[in-house]
Amino acid sequence: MNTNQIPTAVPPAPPAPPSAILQARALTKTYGQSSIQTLALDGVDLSIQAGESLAIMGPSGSGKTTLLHLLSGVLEPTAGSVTWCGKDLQSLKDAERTRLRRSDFGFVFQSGQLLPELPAEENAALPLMLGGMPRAQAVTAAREQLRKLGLAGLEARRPGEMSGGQAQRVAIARALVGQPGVIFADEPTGALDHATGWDVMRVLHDSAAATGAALVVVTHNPEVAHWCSRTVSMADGRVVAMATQKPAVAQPTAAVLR
Amino acid sequence: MSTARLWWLLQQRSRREKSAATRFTGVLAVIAFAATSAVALVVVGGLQAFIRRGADPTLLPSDPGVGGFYVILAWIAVFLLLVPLSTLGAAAARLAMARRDERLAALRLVGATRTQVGALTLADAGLQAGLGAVLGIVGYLAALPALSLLSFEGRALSVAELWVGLPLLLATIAAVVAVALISALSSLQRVSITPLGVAARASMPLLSAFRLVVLGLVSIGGVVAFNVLGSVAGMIGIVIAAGFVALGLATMNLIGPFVLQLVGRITAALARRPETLLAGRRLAADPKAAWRSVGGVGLAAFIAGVVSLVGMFAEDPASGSSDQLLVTDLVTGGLLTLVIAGVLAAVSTGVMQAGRLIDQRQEYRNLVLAGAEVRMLSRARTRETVIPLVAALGTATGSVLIVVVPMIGMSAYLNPAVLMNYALSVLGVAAVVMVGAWASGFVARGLTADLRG
Repeated sequence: MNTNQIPTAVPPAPPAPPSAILQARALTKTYGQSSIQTLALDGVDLSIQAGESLAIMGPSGSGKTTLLHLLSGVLEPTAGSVTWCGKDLQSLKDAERTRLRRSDFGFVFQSGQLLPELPAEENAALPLMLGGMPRAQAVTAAREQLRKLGLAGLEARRPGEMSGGQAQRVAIARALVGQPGVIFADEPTGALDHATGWDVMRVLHDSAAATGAALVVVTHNPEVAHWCSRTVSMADGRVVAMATQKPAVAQPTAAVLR
Repeated sequence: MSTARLWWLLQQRSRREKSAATRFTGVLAVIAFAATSAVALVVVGGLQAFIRRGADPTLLPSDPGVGGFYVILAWIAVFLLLVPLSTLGAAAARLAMARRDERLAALRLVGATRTQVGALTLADAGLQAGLGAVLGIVGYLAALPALSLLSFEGRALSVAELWVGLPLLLATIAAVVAVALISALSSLQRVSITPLGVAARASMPLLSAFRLVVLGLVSIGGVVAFNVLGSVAGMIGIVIAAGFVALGLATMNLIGPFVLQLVGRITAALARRPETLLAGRRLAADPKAAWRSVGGVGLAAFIAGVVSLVGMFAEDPASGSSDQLLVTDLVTGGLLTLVIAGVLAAVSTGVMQAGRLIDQRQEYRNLVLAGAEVRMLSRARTRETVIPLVAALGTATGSVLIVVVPMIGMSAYLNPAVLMNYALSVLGVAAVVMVGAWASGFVARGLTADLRG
C-alpha cells in the first residue's frame, strides 16, 4: 500500500439513508510505527442497508480486508468512525465489540474456519454456545441450520471427513445460526473449484436473503461480486468506483467463475 | 548465491521481521532441546554412578547383591524416562520446523532448488538443536551441586560420580542435533510426497477396546504369578517384583491412551461450556498425543506411589541397616523419577500446545475474529492439560491401589504420612505441568496481537 493521492470518481458521501444499519465515515487506518507508517485505508465512506448485499472488490493490498475488519469491529480505525445500528463501535470496549461480533455478525472465511476436532453440528453451534446458550438448544438450532443448507445426515461428521464445499456450507451455517444482521465473507470461494464456488455463493446469497441479513463479500473475483446488489471497487485504500446491479441468479460459465 | 550465504542473509533479515509468536516458538524449541539434553545427561550420569558403584566391591554395602539391584533400579528409571524424553526431543524438532512452510514455499517460487530449501531447513533446525543442547549441558552442570546432595546407599552422590565426561557431552550435542535433523528431513519428505498431507487433518480412528482385554489378562496373570512365585525370597524375588512393576508400566502405556480417549469422549458428552467441549473433543481426537505429554507423569506417579507405600515399612532411619537404606533409597529414587518426569511433562505440554496453536493458527485467529474470547480459548487449553493430567494421575493412583492392596492390604492407605507424601508429590508435579501449559499462552497472544490495533 502506498500513500499516493489517487483521484477518485466517487463523490462525497451523502447523508446515510434511514435504513442504513452499518455505516463508515471517513474511515482511515494506518499500520506500523511512527517512523514507517503504511496507509491501508484513506477516508472511506460507506453505508450498508438492512438486507443489502455488497461486494468489496480490488487488487491485493487495496484495503479490502482492512475495511472488512474495521466494519466488523475487529480493528479500530486510526480516524473516522463505524456505526452499527446507530452505535459507534469505537465507543465500545474490546469485550463489548467481541460480544457484538458474536451476536450481531456472522463470518465466513476462505479457509481454516472449522475446528478439526468438532463435528459439523458442534462447529455450527459454537457461536451460540459462546454466547451462553445451553448446549442442547445450540446444537438443535445448528442441526436445523445444517438441514436448511442441505447437510442433513452429515451433522456428526468432522471437517476432515467432508468435501471443501460441504465444509464451507457448515461455515455458512455457523455464520447464520445466530441470526446475524450482517454476514461478512472474506474470499468465501477462494479455496474452491468453479462449480463448488458457485454453489457456495448461491447458498450464501439465498440464506442471507431468507434471513434478511446484509451480506458483505470481499473478493477479487468479478463473478462472485455479481451475486451482490452493489459493488464497491477499491484501490490504494480508497473507494474508486461504486455500481449497483441485479444479483446473479443463473449459473455463470465456468470460465468467468475462474 | 550459495546456500550458506542465503541462509545467513535470511537469518539477518528475519531477525527484524519476526513476530512475537515466531520468536517465542523458536525460544520454546530451544528450551525443549535444552530440557531434553539436561535431563538425558542427569539420567545417564545417575545410571553411570550406580553402575560404577555396583562394579566396585570396596564401595558395596554389607549385602553384595544390593549393588546390582541398584543398577537394575537405575535402568528401570532410565526406561521409564525414555519415552517422555524421546517424545520431548521429537516435539522440539517438530517445533523447530514450525512456521517455515510459507518461507520455504516462497523460496521455491523464486527459484531455490529443493536441495537448497532442504539445506536451509536443516540448518535452522540444527542450529536450534545445537543451541538447546549447549544450554542443556549448562543446565546439567548447574544441577550437579544440587544432585550431589542426594544420598543413595548410605552416602551422597558426588559430582565426580555424576560427571558423564567430555565424550558423552559431545555425543549428547550430536545426538540432539541428529534427532532434530532426522525430524526435519522427515517433515521435508512428507511435504515433498504429499503437499496436502500436512494440512489435511484426517480423523484418527478410535482406539480398540482390545486394550482392556490385555489389561484384564495381565491382571489375572499377575495375581496368579504372584501367588505361585510370591514365596520366592532374596534377589530372585526382588527381580520378579521388579518384573511385575515393569509389566504394570507396559500395561499402563497400553491402556493410558484408551483411558484418555474414553475420558475425552465422556467430557465432551457432558460438556456444558464451549471450553470444556473443545478440551474433550481434542482429547478424544488425539489421545495418544495427550498421553505422550502426561503419560510419563502417570508412570512416574505409579512408581512414586508404590515406593511411598514401601517406605511405610522402613525401620528406624537411624539404624542404617542395608534393608533400611534400600527402602529409603527406593523412596528417594521414586520421587526423583517423578520430579524429572514432571519437568519433562511440563516442557512437553508447553511445546505440544504451542505446536498445535501454530498448526491451527488460522482457525484460532478466525475464532477470535468471529467473537470468541481469548480468555475462553485459554481456559480450553488449560482444560486440555488438566483433564488428561488428572486422568493420568488418577489411573496411576488406581493402579497403585490394584498392585499394592493384594500385597499389603488397605491399611497402607490409612497411614497419614504415606498419603501426605504421595499427595504432595503428585500435586507439586501437577503444578509444574500447568506452568508448561501456561507458557503456551505467549504463542496464543502473539497469534492475535495484530487484531487489536
